[in-house]
Amino acid sequence: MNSTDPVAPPVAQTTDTAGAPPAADSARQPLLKDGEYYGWGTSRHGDIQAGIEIKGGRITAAWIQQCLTRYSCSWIAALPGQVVARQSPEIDYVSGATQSTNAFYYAVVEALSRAK
Amino acid sequence: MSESYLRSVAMMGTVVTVQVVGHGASRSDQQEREAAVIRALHWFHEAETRCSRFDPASEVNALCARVGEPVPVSDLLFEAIRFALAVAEETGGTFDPTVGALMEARGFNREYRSGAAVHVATGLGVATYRDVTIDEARRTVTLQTPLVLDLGAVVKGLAIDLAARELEPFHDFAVDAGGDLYLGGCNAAGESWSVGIRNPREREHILATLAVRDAAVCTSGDYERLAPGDSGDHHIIDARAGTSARTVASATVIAPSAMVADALSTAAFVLGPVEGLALLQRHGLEGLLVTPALEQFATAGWHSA
Repeated sequence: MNSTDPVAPPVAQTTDTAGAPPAADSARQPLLKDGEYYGWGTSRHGDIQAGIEIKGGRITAAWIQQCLTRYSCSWIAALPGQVVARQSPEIDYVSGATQSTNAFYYAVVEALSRAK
Repeated sequence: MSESYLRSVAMMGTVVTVQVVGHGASRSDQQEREAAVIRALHWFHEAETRCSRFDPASEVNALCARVGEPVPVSDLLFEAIRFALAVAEETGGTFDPTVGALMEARGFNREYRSGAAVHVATGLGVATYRDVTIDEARRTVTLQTPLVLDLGAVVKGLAIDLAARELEPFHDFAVDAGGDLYLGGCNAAGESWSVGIRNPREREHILATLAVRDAAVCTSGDYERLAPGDSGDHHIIDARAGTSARTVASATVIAPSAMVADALSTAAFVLGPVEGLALLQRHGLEGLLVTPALEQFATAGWHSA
């Protein structure tokens, strides 16, 4: 990840099948404001609070702040790293999505919405 | 996302998210949007109250307690039953909304919020969809024999459609009920919605990505709800065989309405790759069936969808 890149793709940024270069569209999107933000995601397995850190307009860290799920939190421990690597959930929606990832996804979405 | 109003709630055993693109120019526009989103989400509550097999107080369970007499039902329950019966007819009974008793026998009898066991069957004969008759004019449903109606393959899609109807005035919106979707218009970037299809064996991976607008995308997967124990049974029953369907790992359908996409993804899942694709093609719908070995069977127009 290049942390000096001044422009962060927004949450709703799409990388669709046509393979349009996301960077071309990102200039019209607002920068994320620096800081730490938190969001909650809910699933039938329990709730997850995600935290994200924004520096220089990019996601520099994502973590599970609170894990109130019935399964072990270690099951989803890999997810925060994926958010940092991808900078955003890459697609708008997933058909056939799992609940546990949804909860983290929505927690990140909510946290990101506060960074705008 | 900065230009969207988005609300997520836990309902119908899943996470339901409604997103409306744009905030509206004035405060009253914003309030109008928020009110529409709340009305949209309320349809999921309404559908659950009417049609859930897992809620002992639901209208459908009250209906199942009355056998051999015409019972007047709400419009929502009537539509769900009428459509489920039509799909059962269309699939020669492979898809059958009277599989509720079979599902209970396999352990799908937990109210998902409390974990409490639910049992509504009074006599478990071998019922089929032909034991349910409807009267269009009087809006009544008659059960000819004791049975348990499972409208799970229809109700979520119906609720998505009713929610979408509330949001249509805003043109650009999304309704996501645990991976069953309706996408209206465009996303916040002004493009078609980008929809990933989950790999049924690797939860973090996407098999395919679709550009979608003004259409529903629903996926039935064997990974969604597993039966207790280690039988490998899941929640999609082949009514003719009386067991979990096993030739397909996930079935995705794109359709103009979520009720159609939801029901036909389940029906195609049960029918298997060959008959399932034939069903979709017969109805002019696009879809993708994935086998447990991740072999993909797509309708002719899938890749341009």
